[in-house]
Amino acid sequence: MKMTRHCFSALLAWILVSFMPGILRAEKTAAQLLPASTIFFAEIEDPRELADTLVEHPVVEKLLELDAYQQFLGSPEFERFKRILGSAEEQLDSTWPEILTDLAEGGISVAFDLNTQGGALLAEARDAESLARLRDTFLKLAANGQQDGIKQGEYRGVTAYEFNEQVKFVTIENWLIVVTESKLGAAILDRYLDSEQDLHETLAATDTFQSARRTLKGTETAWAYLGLQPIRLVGGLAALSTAARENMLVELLIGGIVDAAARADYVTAMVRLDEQALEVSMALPCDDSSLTEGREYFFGPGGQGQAPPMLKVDDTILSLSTYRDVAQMWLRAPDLFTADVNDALAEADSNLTTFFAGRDFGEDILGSLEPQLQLVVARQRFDSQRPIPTIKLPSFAVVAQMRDPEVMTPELRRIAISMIGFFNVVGAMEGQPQMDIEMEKLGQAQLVTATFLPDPNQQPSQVKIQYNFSPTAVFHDRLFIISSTRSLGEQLLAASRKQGQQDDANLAMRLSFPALEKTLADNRQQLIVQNVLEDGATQEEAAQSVDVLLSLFELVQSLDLDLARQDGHIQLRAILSYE
Amino acid sequence: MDIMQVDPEWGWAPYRPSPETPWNRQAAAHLYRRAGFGATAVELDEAVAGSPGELARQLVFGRPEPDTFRQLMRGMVDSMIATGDASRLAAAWLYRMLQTPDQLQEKITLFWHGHFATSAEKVQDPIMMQQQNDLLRNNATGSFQEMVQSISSDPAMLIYLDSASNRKIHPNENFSRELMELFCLGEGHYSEEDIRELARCFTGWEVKNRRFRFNRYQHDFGSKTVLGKTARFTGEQAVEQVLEQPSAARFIAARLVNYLLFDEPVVPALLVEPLAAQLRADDFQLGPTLQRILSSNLFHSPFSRQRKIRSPVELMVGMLRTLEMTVNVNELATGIQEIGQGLFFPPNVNGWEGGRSWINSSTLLGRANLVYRVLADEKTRFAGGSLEEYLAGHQVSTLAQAVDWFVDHLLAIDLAPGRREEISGTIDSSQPDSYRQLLHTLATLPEFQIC
Amino acid sequence: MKTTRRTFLARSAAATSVFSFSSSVPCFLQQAGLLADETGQQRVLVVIQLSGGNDGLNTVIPYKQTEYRSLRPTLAIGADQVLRIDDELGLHPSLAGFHKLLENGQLAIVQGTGYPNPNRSHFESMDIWHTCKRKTEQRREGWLGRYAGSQRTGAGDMGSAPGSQMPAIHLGQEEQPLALASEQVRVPSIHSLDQFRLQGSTPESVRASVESLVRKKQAGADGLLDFVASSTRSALAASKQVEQSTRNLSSGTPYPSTRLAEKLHIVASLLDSPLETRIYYVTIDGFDTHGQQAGAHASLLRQLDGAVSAFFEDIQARGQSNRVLMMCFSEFGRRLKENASKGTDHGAAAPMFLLGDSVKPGIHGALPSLTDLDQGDLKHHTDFRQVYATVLEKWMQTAGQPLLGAGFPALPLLRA
Repeated sequence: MKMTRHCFSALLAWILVSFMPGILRAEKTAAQLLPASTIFFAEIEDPRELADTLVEHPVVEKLLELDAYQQFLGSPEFERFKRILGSAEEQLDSTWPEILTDLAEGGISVAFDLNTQGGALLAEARDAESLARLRDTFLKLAANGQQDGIKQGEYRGVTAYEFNEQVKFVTIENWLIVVTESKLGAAILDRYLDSEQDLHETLAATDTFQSARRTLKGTETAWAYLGLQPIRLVGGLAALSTAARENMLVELLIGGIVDAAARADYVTAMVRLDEQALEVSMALPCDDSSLTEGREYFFGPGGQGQAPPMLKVDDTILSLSTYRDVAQMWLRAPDLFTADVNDALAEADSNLTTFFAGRDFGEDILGSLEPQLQLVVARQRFDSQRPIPTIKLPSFAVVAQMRDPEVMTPELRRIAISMIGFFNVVGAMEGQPQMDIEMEKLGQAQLVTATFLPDPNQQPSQVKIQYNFSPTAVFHDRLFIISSTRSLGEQLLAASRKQGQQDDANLAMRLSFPALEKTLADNRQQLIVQNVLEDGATQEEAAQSVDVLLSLFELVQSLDLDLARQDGHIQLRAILSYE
Repeated sequence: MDIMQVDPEWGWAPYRPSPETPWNRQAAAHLYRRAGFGATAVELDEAVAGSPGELARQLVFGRPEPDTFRQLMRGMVDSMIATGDASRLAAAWLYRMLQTPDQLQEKITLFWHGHFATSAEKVQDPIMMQQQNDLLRNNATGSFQEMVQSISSDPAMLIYLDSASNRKIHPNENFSRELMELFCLGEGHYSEEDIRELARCFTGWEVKNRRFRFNRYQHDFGSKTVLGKTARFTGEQAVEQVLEQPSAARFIAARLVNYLLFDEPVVPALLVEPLAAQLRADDFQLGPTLQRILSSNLFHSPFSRQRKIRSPVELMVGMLRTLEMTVNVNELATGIQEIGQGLFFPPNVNGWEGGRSWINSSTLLGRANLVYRVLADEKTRFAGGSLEEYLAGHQVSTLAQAVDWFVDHLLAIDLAPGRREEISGTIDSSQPDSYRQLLHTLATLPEFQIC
Repeated sequence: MKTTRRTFLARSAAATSVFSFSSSVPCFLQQAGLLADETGQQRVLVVIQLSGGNDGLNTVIPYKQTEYRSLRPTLAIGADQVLRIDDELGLHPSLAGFHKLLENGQLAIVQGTGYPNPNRSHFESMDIWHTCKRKTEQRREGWLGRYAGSQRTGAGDMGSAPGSQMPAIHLGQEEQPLALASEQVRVPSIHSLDQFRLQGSTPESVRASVESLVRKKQAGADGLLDFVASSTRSALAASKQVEQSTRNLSSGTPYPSTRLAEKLHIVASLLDSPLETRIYYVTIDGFDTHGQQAGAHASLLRQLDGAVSAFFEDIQARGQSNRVLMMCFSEFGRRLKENASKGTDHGAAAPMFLLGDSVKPGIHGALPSLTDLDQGDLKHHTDFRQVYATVLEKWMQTAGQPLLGAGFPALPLLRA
């Protein structure tokens, strides 16, 4: 284990060196050293803390025990990497975690500058001496490997080294500055050496960066900034907006974000890692004036659209709660989507109108519901009195509010009944089991439920997948629930009576891993059979790999995602929580 | 020599190894390929150490599936049925063909599936399709008489041939026609009048809740004249009457010989007769006749060796069993269906025609591509390891040795002199997948399609 | 261009009244020599099935008739919108490509096709179109399946060309249409061109080595091996052609990105290969427009139009157009009167389309009366089997009667 952890630290060191960023505690910060034309900037303020968190992290500990990681440790690539690291450790008489924290104790940052088309890495070491020692050892090692050694040059009295065409660096006091373009290196050194900042505009001084900087909360492990203006100029956001125009689901999920990005000056992202959770979030500036009419369906009038409070039921796997005026989107489709999508919608409209017995799907059906929608997926508990399906699916439901319950309740009830009839007719032609319809009152609420009739000759081990369903419509005042099972419909009805807390998100989603794991475990036998068939495994091997899969879900608790408007920004946040 | 001139007595007499027809690995591989799908190198070693007659007996009677394997199959079939999709059953059946110790049982069950062809395209319900499959398996080497009785009241068959709507006032002749033409007698051994009369015997045979039900109100209890005999036949008695025709035993014997020995031509009548006589003497018990066919002189003669075109199932299951491969069986089932043999979905009531009809441009390319896909799939294993490891375990370490090994184990026809070298010459041995390229090339050769 | 248009208008005017069936000499007998054109390539039939019941009245539109306008208050397409064929009829505005093909003399429209006692169930009516038989008859084979079976060479015919093994191909993921069912041959269903491409990490070298190995005929090889060897040669040659023709194609005619266009694109590529397949069959589904028909129908016809136009442009560029005849049909038309959901319900008679260089362009037969209806639907005056007979006899040069039954004389829809 000790050895494993050591290797892991080395791996972490490698990642930090290769990819990551910092900030400066000295008089000047990295952002003050970078030119105003910098469009990308990312930093890790306290690499040592990050390294400590990672090394001690409970999830990391479990991951290290996985076979896949152990295999990686044994791979020839990693062996080679370890040898190189080892020889450097010898030379420096230190360990890599030490070396790296020495190198970047004051923070590390990376940036990309538009004018020079150059990338930069700035690291602030603990002190000038240890940095110099590191540099010299590196130069010595590099000289061994390279025939013509490392070229040296000078800029304003500072020695610059050219490792190769793409990588040049200088050390100055306790700063390590690595760049891909000499011009960028010169620009950074100018800002370092000149005391009068106004001679050289800096990233830190630009309005957009300052505004972006206000999204900082101080708890970030890493933070990044991307200027959108120049990217828009080169068409960098076109792919996103095309994806939304070509796919209705993409539009429904991120259409509003894509729209806001088309007007925003920048986007920021942050990562926060601690022992309880990993949080990743992204923010785009967006005030009321930049909301467009076309995305009113997305953000609501005046941008005030709020997701309904999440309803909680036992073993909820997924709940998704959102404000989306789908009827409005349906009507605005010609503006939002490509001609192909609109053609597909026209065909769907024709079929749906037939299906809904002549009611216009967009206006009459979607339009009869409030824009606050909720989707709930939950593990299913089966009634032992009824056939229990061999393949056990979760149940799912959509929860909505009717605009005009007096008109819509009988209308939707009638549609529900004719749909069940329709499924029965189609099912009968294909020899599928038939449904029985029941209507009943539950307090003030009314339920329309269809249940599949038991098949007298069915063997308990061959119960068809249909028995996962008992389609149910629930009507209660304005509440309308359409659920794949009666049980979930009832639970949601009960949950709706306890008003949950309203948060001000536009969209909120929660994925719960223990419930998902339980659902998969319900189907363990089926998963094993599939594994035997798909992987050619023996039954024992298959059982083992299914159990490993299930154990992976034990590492994490939940994934929360929300989209909200806050402090003049649209913020999209994902939080992965572990126990 | 012409098959027409073969002396039946010599033909069906037990084969005794001789210098001209030695009992060697090729002969043992032939027996395995025809009686089942294929043999591993170890199975061939064991085979040549024993006698051909004993091996044939073992293949027919001596390798029952252990209970644990049956349970595994039951569970697998159940979870395929639970999906409600009959096409999923094919994967479970292929898995059984690949893993069962009783190869012959599956080979003969496949024969009956083509013989009593019933398609899920029409039946739809996976439970009934699997019930029929179990019926065919349980009777595969048992009594043909019982098989025909059972299949006549099999719900999937009743639905497929519209017997389920066979009513007294409007008899449906579909099943009675096929019972005589395709299942028991063959064309020319009955009249149109026999069909009409026979159909009356099966009136009122219905399907209710996936079970056979006799509806006495729809059954015609009157007197019928079937194949020269007049009586108040019930359906069961009518089946007996059909099977009492002299052509019944001949028809089945001839079908089996064409399935096990050669695609072409149709077996000459003289050769059929001794087998038909045995079938009758054995009360239509199939096992002894199968054993006799598989241990006969004719089976080991040039009239049988290299005389069949591999069906898609034989092609793939044969290769996979020979090389002890494990693969993604779901994709294998789809692949086999694409090249013309969708299990549980025979093309029509005739079943698969077999022989040359397996072959056309699209199926030949499909065969080569399916072999390639299976070889390229990273899930594919050879006795649990890589192809290289597997070959190394058989002392194969060069391309030239690999050509020899593959040809000896997988091909029924040897390549012409000099061509083994030529093939290994076309492959770049420095490529990491050179053995797989070699196998792909071999599988694309015409010789690979013959067994 | 102008002259062509005027010519066909004149011709179609002459044909508008009633057909004359006087010259139904079995010309397939005389024309045996025409089976293949000068290059030795055989004629091909491409069938497009419009599943769900295409609304014939909104495809070939009687835009002036008052019944049409009054019974279709929301769905009627006006004189200012139709693509005019003549003073009575116009094409749906989505069919610009069809309109152009008509002007080029490549489109024949056969009005009022159907069959006696029309059945209004999708399944039953489609089965009738596929098998040419009613439910009471044995229906195991389709009309094209019977054709394919009749083309099969005997089992003893060694080394036969691949075309004799694959007389028909169905393209698509859906279940194979009953029209192609045959007890004699297995008609392959293809859903991607990859099925005609030799795959592999080094397909070229596999092909080359297999080709060189197959070419060496084995002394004393028996019939089966010879047969498989010659089939393998054909298959490899076909795969090579398909490979080349698709490689050239990427820079060729652009096709719309619809599924129907993809399928016709494959057909065009296969026409260029040495496959001697005579029939290609594709379907496009969704024509069952009971509600909100206008948008859906326009979209479907646009897909049809785009795919067919690209296909004809493509085969023209490939020099293959003179050996292709295309036929479009649907299992029934739709009711004259629109329903309350702005859609139309299952109907009866409707037009069929024949496309190709050898059609007699224009309208054939009169539009059935909009006042003399059968349960609200148009009455047919031309049996669809007569159109089939025309295709079989005049194009495929095979007798129609054994495949379709007696009593369906061919129509003068094709040149020569």
